[in-house]
Amino acid sequence: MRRLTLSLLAMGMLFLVNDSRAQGYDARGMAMGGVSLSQNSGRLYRINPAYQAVPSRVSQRSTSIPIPLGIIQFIKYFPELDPDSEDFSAIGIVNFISNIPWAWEFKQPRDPEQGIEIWMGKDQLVFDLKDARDIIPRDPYTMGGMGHPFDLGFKLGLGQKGGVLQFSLLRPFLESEIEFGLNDEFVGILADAEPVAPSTDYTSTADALMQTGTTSGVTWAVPLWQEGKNGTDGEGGGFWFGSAYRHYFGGGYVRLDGDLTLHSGDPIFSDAGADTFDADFHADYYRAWPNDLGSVGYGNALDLGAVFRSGRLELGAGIADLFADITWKNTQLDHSYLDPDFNEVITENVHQHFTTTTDIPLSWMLNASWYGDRFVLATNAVGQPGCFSLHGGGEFWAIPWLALRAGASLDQRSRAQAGWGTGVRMGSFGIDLGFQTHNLGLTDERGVSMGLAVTLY
Amino acid sequence: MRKLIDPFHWTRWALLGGLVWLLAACGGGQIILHLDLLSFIDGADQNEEYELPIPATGDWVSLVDLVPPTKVELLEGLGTASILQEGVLTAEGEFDHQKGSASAKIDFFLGATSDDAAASSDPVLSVIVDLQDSTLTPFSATGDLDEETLDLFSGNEIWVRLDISARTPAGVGFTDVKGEVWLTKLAARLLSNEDLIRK
Repeated sequence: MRRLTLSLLAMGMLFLVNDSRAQGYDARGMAMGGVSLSQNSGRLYRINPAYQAVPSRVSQRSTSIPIPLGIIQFIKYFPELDPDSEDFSAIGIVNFISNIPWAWEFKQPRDPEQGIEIWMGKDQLVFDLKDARDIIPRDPYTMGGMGHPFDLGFKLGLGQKGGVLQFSLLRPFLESEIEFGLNDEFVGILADAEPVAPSTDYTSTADALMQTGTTSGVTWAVPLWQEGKNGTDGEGGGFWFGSAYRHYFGGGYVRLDGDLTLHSGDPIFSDAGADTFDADFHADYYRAWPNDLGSVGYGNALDLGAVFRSGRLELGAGIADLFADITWKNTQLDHSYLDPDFNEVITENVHQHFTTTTDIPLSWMLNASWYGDRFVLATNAVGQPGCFSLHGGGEFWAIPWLALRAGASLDQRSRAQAGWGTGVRMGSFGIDLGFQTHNLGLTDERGVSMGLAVTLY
Repeated sequence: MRKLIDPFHWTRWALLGGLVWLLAACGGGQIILHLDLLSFIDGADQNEEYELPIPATGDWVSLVDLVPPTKVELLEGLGTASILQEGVLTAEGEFDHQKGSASAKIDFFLGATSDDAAASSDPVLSVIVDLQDSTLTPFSATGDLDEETLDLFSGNEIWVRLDISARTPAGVGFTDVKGEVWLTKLAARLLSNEDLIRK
């Protein structure tokens, strides 16, 4: 049962990982280093509301249909979920979920080395966590993200100058943030296998927030300046501005703020029978969920974005969830601590039915692209809760039916990744093939994903 | 309102031990514990001089109690969470033997308490060496620990004792032996393949 709980917890945490961490499966985008082009990315529309009114370029009007090659591996390598099975491995599930093969895993990162070694003596205590060292964060580690499984709504055109109104009636959200930190001494013994030092504080802090609900709102995107054919044919241009107001309806949240300090003895193992470590543990546990309509969480958010297009150049900037927070009226707070006299964790209800406010973190994106006669250059910088990523890539049509693509990116763990691929066009039909390196496994070793797509021009 | 969410007595060690075990167990569960038993033995007990006559009965006669029952602290929380599958005890030392030919037997005893270790007559490891006049004689021994002995490591502490006895062939009369003995290494390597999360 413990294994199942741990696995579900791990799965839940990784399910909530920011979408920029998720492995791409768009072959063209993968080959170009993971860039988001207006024609292939929902992320642009989500973060930059101005794109609701920006027309597609004639040269880029196409529909890409990913071929889920990875589903074969998905079925073949699906991890054992039965806790009673000998093949069950919680870390295997975590590794699998962090590396779901939507695209074909051309080269899979190796599995983490298992187990640990401990060296003990009267004045010596050393832990070697082997590959698990890699998952010990050296700096305060934040991960999380905002997920929207769907957006139910409709769009109204207001004429060439009036722009576009997009009504979002139901857009559920699931937002999570997990911050985990260890002091340098704790990092030393866990990540570097340094010996435990006598009379030293080893401190860890963990803050986690998960909130869910839905939003409704309206987006207005309007051209402020246009010339020619809005640049859709490579001539002329335009400037579009978009804003969105969204109202948050909170369905519930949980928040845990905890810290643990272990103070080592001197000597580490004492003859006098004293504890090797003195522990100090405190945690605050907030939770709120509506028990009537009046206790639903409420909040407001503003999205802003702009797109500038001049001939072949396109620049965009967007920011989502500006000034966003949710106020909850039915919050409970429990406090847990380690009672040093009895070595027991005590939990006390401190407060109930009071009002709290949780923040919705900002997401932002800057993008630039250049559409030549035979090539496209594009770059994106994306900031989302807990991570920043940078992407850049190019596409070159060497001959009318053959495109060569390459790109690079700095992923959310600040590691350089590469992409490459090709595309073949035969009339109104094409095939795209893309490769992209990644560090989505639990080890430092890179994997290589391969994406395949059919494109209709 | 006050309530206990943990009906068990959380030891302080369990907090850190639990973290380490969780990582290990997630990874498939192999845990290797290298325990330096010698470091827990007082320096004065790590070497001893001896000088006595050994009767020619052919029986083993106590030469020196090198290490009296000595407590070794274990990782509370680790032992209780684990089932050890394998264990190896390794000992090394040296005799600076000055006088009298004899055989020496070094016996290592383990116990859950001081009394257990003191009273035990069933060594977990033994080694016999031949001592010659004016000779430096190193000794080393390695032995697997049986299941009963491995269970001792599941507690918070273990006690270790080391005895050395000697004998001469029968019918030779008394032999005066004299020298000094050092213990230079006493270590245990314990292995668990248990997956904590499966329990």
